[in-house]
Amino acid sequence: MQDLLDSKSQTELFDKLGHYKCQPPLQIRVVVAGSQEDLGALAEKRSPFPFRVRETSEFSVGQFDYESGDIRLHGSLFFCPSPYKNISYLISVCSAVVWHRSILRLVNSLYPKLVPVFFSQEELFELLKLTKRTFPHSELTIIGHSRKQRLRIGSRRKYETSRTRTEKPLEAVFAEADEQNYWFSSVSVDITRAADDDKQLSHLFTSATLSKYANFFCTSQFDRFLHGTVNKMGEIAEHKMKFFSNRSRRLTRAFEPRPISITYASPEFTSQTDTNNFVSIMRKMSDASCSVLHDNPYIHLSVVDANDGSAADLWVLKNDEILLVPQLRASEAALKRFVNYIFEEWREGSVTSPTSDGIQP
Amino acid sequence: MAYNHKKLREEIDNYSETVWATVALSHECKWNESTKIVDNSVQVGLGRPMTRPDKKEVTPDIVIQRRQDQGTVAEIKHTFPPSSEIERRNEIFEQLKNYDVDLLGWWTDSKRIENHDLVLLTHLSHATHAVDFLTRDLAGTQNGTFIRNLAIIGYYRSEQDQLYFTLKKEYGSLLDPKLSEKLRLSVPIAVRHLIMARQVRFYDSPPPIPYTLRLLWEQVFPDLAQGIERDKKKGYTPIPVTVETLTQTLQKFFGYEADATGNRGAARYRRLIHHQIQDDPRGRARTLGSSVLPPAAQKIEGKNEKIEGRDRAAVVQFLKQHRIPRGGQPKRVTSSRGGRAMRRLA
Repeated sequence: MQDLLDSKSQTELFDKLGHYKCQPPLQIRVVVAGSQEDLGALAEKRSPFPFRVRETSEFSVGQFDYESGDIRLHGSLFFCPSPYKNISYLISVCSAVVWHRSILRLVNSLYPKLVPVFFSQEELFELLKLTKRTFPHSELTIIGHSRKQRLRIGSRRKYETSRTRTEKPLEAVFAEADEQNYWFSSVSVDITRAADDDKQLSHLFTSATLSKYANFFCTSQFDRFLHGTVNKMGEIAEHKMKFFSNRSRRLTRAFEPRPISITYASPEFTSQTDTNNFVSIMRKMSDASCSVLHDNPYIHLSVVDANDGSAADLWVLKNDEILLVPQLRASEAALKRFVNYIFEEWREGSVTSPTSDGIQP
Repeated sequence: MAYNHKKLREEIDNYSETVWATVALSHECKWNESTKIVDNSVQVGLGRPMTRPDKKEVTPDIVIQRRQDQGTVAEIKHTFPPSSEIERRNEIFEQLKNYDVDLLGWWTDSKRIENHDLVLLTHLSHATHAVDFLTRDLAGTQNGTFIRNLAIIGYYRSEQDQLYFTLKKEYGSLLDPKLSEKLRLSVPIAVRHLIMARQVRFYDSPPPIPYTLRLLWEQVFPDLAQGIERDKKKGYTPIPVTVETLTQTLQKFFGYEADATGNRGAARYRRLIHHQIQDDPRGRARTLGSSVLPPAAQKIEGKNEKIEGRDRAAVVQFLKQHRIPRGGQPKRVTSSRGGRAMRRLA
């Protein structure tokens, strides 16, 4: 680990990570996230635990070493700029315990200054296909996934969650998910390569995990993942940052709104039961307040993010569209969170930015 | 008077629908049928003061100037009074009769216009009653005889593949024969287009108090709270505001701004004071505290003369359900926590 900390430049750091082969429980772990601020300085200021940050010319590195209950948590987190504007890679070589109890805790504490990224199932599938293409003479097999399936509305528990260990091809796993109407939180893959000897037995080349919350883990071959999967994650994140940013009504010319439309291929709101279900889901959103202004026959809700005060009106005026109308304050982090919540709790749809041109149909 | 949630929701719904009616009528008058775009040269004023030849000032709900020589003056009554309330019915046509003269205050150099028509905008379920009253009860009377064109236009919400807001002329005609015929056949406007164009929430009439409180609470105060540190001693984030700035913010984002052409703007400053949203007539900065305006709330709990009856109960109910948490943003709370907040206020 010390050799990583001694890196003088980002290239050197990535080069060293490229040669790194992790032994369990360690993995190279990356969070792709957006921010318009200096993340290193922000993390030092807002970290929920002692966190020292050292700046280098190209990146920052933060270190922590503290006791939490009966265990000692220590590690390093590299804040590296990506080729994409306002997108950073937060990289650490650590165990799952440190990851969950320290790094994710730190990342969550930076919200809304640090804008999390969420991938749709389609994007997750595309990223995994890209990963497969990154290793041309190898075989990619899904070895496990965490999945969620929505339970009947009104039941105490919202989802059925399961962690599955399997050994199936990528396409088969996603086709099955589509059929059975569940979605993945994370997918783990093994990349195997045929051995060079005559027996042609395949051997494990590397393992990786990709989550819909823009977390990426791998055991080795970081450089190849970086130039393939991770950079693509950065590209998607940048696109999303651009899409969700500058939507506050304070920033528009005549204070007109810049709505976000979530559309579905088939009608989603066909009965009053659907409407009631949707409203009840929105009212359960954590760290947000939801006022129901109208729920029959159309839906009009006011959603406010309790973390940064961002507000948006939510309208359902067509049976296949949810319209999110950002108000005076509307950070990209909050808007993304609202959309992701709808995707997770209700259903994934296509997100577009409708215009008010041609007001009359 | 006891708090009646259902009744309050109904009032808010009626208010919102009336606002949509003003937006829909303005939009329809601005819509250029040949180019299929909104004609921004059409002038619209809400609560615009106009002067009668006898120097008396009148304030129609909507004043629209479509051309340099043609205007429309409209009055909105979501509910046309029942047949038992003849006086109130009469008052409406008396009001319209007041506009049936050469009015001064148009957007022309002379502030006059060659001709204008009159519109009574009411919910479609009441439009026939209004027409019957005008054509039967007021037939031949002074209040029922108009020099200018008078049209009674009904409005209603309807759902087809999506939610529409429809305008339909039930009586009379307008100066523009094309527009008049179009309205006779009914004009459905998709609500999504109305809400995407502008976020108008007020017209020239005071809404139920919680309606304004909600906008302030959920959309204005969180924005104002940004950059203000939480006061650890007080235990909340103080947000300095004045009625004037709040009014301007509401007008800018949710209504119509006062301008140099004579528009007074909506929501109106005086009405906000009347509602005691922030009771500071001299416009000094005052600190809003841990709940929706504790100073005001304490007054409500004490002897506030201006919020009474159902309005008072509605505000108290609103206070029960909202508070500002540590971060300074509004948050709904459970009834028990709300109860504690109320006890603290009391």
